[in-house]
Amino acid sequence: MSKAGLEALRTRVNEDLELARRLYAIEPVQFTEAVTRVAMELGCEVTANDVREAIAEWVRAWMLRWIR
Amino acid sequence: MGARLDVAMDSLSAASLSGWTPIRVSTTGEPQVDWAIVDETFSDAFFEQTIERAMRRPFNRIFARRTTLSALEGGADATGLEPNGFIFHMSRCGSTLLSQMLAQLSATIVLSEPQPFDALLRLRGRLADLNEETLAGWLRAMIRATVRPRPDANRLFVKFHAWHVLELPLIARAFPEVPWIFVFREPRAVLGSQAKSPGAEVVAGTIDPRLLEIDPGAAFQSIPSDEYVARTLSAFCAAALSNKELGRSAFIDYATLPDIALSGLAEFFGVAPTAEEAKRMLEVMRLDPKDEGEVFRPRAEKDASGAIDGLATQWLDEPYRALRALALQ
Repeated sequence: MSKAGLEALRTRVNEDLELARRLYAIEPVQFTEAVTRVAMELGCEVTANDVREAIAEWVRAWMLRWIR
Repeated sequence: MGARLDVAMDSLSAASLSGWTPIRVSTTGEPQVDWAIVDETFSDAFFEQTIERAMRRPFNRIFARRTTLSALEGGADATGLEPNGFIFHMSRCGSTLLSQMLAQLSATIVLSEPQPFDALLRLRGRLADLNEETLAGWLRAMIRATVRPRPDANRLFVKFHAWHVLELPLIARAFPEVPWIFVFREPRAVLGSQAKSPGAEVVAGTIDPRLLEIDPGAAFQSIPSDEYVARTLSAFCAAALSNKELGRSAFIDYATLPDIALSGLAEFFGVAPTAEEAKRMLEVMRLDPKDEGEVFRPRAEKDASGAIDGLATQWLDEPYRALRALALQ
């Protein structure tokens, strides 16, 4: 689990619109694998579990937002 | 990993939001803007539908961003598509159909009831020291950030929530050059539709009652809900009428839809639909956006109940007559 790795990747994405668009275009079924590969290429330590956890957290937070 | 909706806000360089779209403004606590990549043109019947689709992309679930409102002005592109027209309405009057017809024009984007605009307009009274010019500036910045120049679009219309007509002076201050229309319908039909399935805007508490010139205490305690609906709709109509001199305005009677969209309205907005565009616009009629599969046709007013008839007579017939007198033919 690497929070720091994912945060580092976020920073790279925020600074690079082309990278953001490339990741945006990835189909859901390929997304986890593609993101971990891109992260590795950029020197960010991100595991498949990090990606899945982040997505699951987002879904939980999104649902809670409507419940509050 | 903390959820993106709850993490600390981005620290942003001014340019780093280029290419990102503001999708939502949260107004609980300090106002915050959520940003995502939205790669498709806004052409759905409602802004939220386009956003929902964008948020299904896994990318946005991990990389969506959050900023303060100040980033809206500092980080958004300085240039954006300027609006060609605004659509206000009294609710249940064909405005969604009308906006969908306009969306059939080539190279045209229609933002329909975008949440970020609604949230900004609700900030008045919630933020200390918020002045009109700042709020107007945020509205302009939000438009620019939402609809960036793109090769496949050169025309933009914004359809507002019904209650936003109460904020016409502010909106006109932010966009003095943008022509606007107000769509209306025979009051008994609107009241009947609202009675059958009330929209959020006519339920006490969703809009500050003072905007409707209703005492906040009375709104919850002594005004029956059906009367509250009638008074709300009356306030919408009154706001459109009293502000008719603000910029260029036109009034569209539901009874003249859809033909008026291809004639008087198109002319008012300065567009001349090609034969192909007109065909697409008419095709939209076949798919009433709120009644999928049904062919749209202006529905005749059914016999109203005594209660509805009484409310229409007391609160809405007079503004309706005034609106009809001004309507495009």
